[in-house]
Amino acid sequence: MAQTQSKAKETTRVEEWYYQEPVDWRDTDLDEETLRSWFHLMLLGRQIDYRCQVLNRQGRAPFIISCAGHEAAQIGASWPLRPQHDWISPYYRDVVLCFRMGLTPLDLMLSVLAKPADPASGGKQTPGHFSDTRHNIISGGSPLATQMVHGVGAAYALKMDGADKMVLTSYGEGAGAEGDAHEAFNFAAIYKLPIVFLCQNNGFAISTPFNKEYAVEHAAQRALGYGFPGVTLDGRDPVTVYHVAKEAVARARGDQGPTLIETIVDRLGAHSSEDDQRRYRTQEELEQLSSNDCLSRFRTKLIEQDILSEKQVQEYEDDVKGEVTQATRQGLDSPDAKPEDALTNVYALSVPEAKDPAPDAETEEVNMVQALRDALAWEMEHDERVVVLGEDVGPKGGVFLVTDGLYHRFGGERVLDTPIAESSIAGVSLGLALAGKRPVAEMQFTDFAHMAFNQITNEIAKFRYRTNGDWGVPMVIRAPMGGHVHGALYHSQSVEARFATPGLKIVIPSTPYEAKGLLFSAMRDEDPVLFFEHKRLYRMVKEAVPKGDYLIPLQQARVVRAGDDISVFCYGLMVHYALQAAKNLEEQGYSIEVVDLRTVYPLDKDAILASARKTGKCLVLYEDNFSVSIGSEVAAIIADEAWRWLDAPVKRLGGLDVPAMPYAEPMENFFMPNPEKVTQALKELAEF
Amino acid sequence: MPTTKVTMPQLGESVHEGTISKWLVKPGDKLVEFEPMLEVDTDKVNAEVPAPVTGVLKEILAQEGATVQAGSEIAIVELEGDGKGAAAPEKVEATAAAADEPAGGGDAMPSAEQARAADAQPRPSPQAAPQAQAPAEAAETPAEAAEAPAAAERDSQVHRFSPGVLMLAEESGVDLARIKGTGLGGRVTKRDVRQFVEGQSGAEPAPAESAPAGATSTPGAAAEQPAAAREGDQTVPLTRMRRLIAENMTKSKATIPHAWQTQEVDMSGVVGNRSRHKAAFAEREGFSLTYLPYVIAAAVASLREHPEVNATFNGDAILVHGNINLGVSVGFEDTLLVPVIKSADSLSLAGIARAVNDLAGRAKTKQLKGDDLQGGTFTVNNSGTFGTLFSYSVISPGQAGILTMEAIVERPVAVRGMIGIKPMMYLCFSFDHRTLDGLQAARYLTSCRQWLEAVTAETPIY
Repeated sequence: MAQTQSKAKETTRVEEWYYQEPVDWRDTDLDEETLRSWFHLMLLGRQIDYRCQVLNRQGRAPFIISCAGHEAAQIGASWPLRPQHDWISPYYRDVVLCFRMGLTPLDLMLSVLAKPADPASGGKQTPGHFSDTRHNIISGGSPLATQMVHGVGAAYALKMDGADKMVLTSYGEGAGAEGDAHEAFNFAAIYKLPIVFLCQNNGFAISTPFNKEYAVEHAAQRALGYGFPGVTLDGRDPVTVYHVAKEAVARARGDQGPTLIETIVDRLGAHSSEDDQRRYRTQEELEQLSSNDCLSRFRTKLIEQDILSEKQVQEYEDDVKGEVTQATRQGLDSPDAKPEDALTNVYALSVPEAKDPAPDAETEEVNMVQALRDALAWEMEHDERVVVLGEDVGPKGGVFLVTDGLYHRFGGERVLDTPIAESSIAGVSLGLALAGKRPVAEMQFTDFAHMAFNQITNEIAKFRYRTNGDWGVPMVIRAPMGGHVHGALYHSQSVEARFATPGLKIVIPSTPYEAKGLLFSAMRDEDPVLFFEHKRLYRMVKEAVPKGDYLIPLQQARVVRAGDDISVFCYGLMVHYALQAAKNLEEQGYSIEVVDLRTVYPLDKDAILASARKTGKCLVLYEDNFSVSIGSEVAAIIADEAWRWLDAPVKRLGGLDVPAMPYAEPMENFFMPNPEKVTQALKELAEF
Repeated sequence: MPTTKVTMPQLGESVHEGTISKWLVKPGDKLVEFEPMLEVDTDKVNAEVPAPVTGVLKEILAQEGATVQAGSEIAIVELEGDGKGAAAPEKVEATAAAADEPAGGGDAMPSAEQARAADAQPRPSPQAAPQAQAPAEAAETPAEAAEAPAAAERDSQVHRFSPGVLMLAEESGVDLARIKGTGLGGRVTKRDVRQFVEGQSGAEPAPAESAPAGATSTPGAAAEQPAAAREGDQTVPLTRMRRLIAENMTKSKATIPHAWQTQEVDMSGVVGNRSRHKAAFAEREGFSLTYLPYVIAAAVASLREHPEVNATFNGDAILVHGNINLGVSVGFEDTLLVPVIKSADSLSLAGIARAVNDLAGRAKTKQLKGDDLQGGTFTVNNSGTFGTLFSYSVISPGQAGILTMEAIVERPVAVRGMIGIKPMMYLCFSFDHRTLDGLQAARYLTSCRQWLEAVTAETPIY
């Protein structure tokens, strides 16, 4: 794999940007037959677009987003790709691009009509969010530029596999302003990934014109700053686009890294069915657009050059209309979604089963860091799909040394030091998972996972759901969390409640043994798992941990200590504080049950209710902010479903409702629960 | 000269112990604050640790190679001069940042609620106010509780039960009035109930499916001064059944002004009728014909005639029931059940016999359903089967009376101026004097007697 190297002066190489002048098809390897098939696909895109507008006006398709004016750029750029071999990570206007990769008009109609048979999302996403595992089309969400990072992740996986495959990711120039675009360019450049960035520059981010999006003259000039070539050209001419894309694809396959192609196109219609572009474009401008229509231009050229006759053009148009009408009819006849379909494909149906340590497994007294490291090493040894990535996880072994030794043992290709760019750590992992890897990413601190909040909660969490189960995202994001370590505001946070999103699982282990068994389950789960490790626990406790693999199932709480009088629900460091407090209460004759939640999202409701019903008095203990926490949810569950068994109000003991944990020790101690505070809370409950 | 102890610093966020790789000073050497004193290895960092104070190293407590916990003492230092007039610190940590003690050095930390209140409250702004409200209130509660409460306040929760306590009491058949609460304000806690139940060792689990008639009405036996157990006494714990019976009977006697009448019935006709049908009946029905169905039939027929007896005293009105649902007391060794024959007036004598046989049989085998025990409007009791002659039965709450048939005994009686021997039976009637007066009661009882005496050998039973 590519390694970054300090560039000595004599080796400095500056990539170039250039404007590609129009190319005649006779100077390329194209033939007439190919041009005719292009015409067919462009026409299909346009006719589908017309039909969608009609369905929208009929009230049958609530939301429509158009590709009109982008057809030429899409057909030219995608032609060098091999369908069912190469991958695309498209954006919402890529109708013709997706047709080229294998999507059918019926597939598209089913999506427009929100039918359960829609292969992209089963009626869950608005049209324009193309997706299909059969054609290697990566699902897109609505936040912009995220798909570019996913494409980069997939490209990394394809490069690892050495399979001569590449990725084309596409975006509107407006998305180029997003941080994810930057992170995608940078990551792809550093690792020289087999990817082509296709910028479809129609001059408007909805209504914001190019000069308010960019201070450079051409979007592709940015490529130079990342260290790969950029080309700008007239995207209304499919032949020129093809000419440039062919070279870019060859570069990708030839291990020469990414290329940015900027195609200048026109957006013939409004941004979407919700937009009226007359509010920000003049009448003259709009009239000029139609005179410059890429489809008309191409049609004229084909007739002029006798590649198609007028009559043949008419036949093509009639055929395509028939094709679209048939697809529309079939789409309308397809059954409607059922209300309860809303509940499907949040998580995979199967989860890894519990597995005990081998009966003859040796054990070793280790701390949590060592236990986690052993799990990672074992899994990397036995599953070559596992890739570890994050800031400083390579030769340094991570800031807490959890990944120590993995780089030397498994190499830089599988143990990647990433740039300090959390969004791409998450987004690249997602792309890796889509392309068959089992990424285990590390966020250096949970506090910085917020930079990846969109990728984690909007993309990773929603991927299975929004593709109706077509794609799964088996990946783990590990991150150190928690207070009582003098970490202050940005090295102490408990972020589990903020990240709790259906589609994700969030695990917080409390001991070395637990950490290892839970991490194995997380790594083998078919769904994304956030694995938060409490910094204070890394080296606080040592215990006998078996060598080899064993699995502790996710979403199953554990009763650490059985008792009759009060239940304490907690996780992570708080389990230890609860146990100390339980001992104090035991001396006073009270019997305390301590329940380690282990998986804090989704919660093990059965275990919570069983314990609450048994004792009737509940303390929910956590170090997150007091309000809107996992603990708040536990308390709500008990109030909802165990009220008849309760003998006291459900009590919560958490951190303070201040923005984060302060640095000075007296303030930190004031913020954090500790065994004395827990003891006091338990006493109050006992005496209630 | 004052001395101070140097402790192992916490070198890193997640590090709890370190190995002393090298002492850079030896006892007797002068230490200068912030100058290196020793080298420490941890699994995260290797660091030179500076002296925390200026002075003379007196003693090394942890030798090279030793692995010690953060916070453990590693050296003693003699301070310069007299400690600059200030009291010498007892311990100095080797770095400026103090290691926090998870288990706490006994710091009197206020509760989190107080912490929140103190922290969120000082400058209440409009935005902060709603959020700060709840913790502030929470903080007040313990403070109030800490002040010596008045006795009334202390016992304010004695009669308030949490849902968990009510459920456990119900399940274990415990009378909460008998439990002394140890919770806040004298509240009975779930733990109190559990300990009370555990104290009643050997208490058998109550039969959940059976309950005496009227068991669903409010329990609430008046609290009594418990009798002190003397030597040789044995405390028999109450079964759930015993407790329910006690509660019902107490309620009945506490709320219903009982009055009582008796008439004597010549049972010759009934005896003759039964003798005539006995064999055929047993063969046909599979069980034997007893006297009870005759008395029930008499009671039912008389209720039809005197509907005011088939009634409930309802506080400000009397509810006269349209249906006659007749409860029949069935006593066993350890229990008393009153299954109900629904719409008994629609049955023939044989039908009543069948119903009684069915209910009694199922009562014996604990097969009764809740419905079998509910809705009674009048009760017939048969204590005569135990040989009694006069019974002052207690009325089921919600009914106006209970009719008791006594033992049928051959007695010399005067018949038209002559002495004859006849099977005689006393029929006793307890009635709610709020609903009925002696006149109505006597009419009813008379009606019953006349019905029974009108039976002849020829009276059909089907």
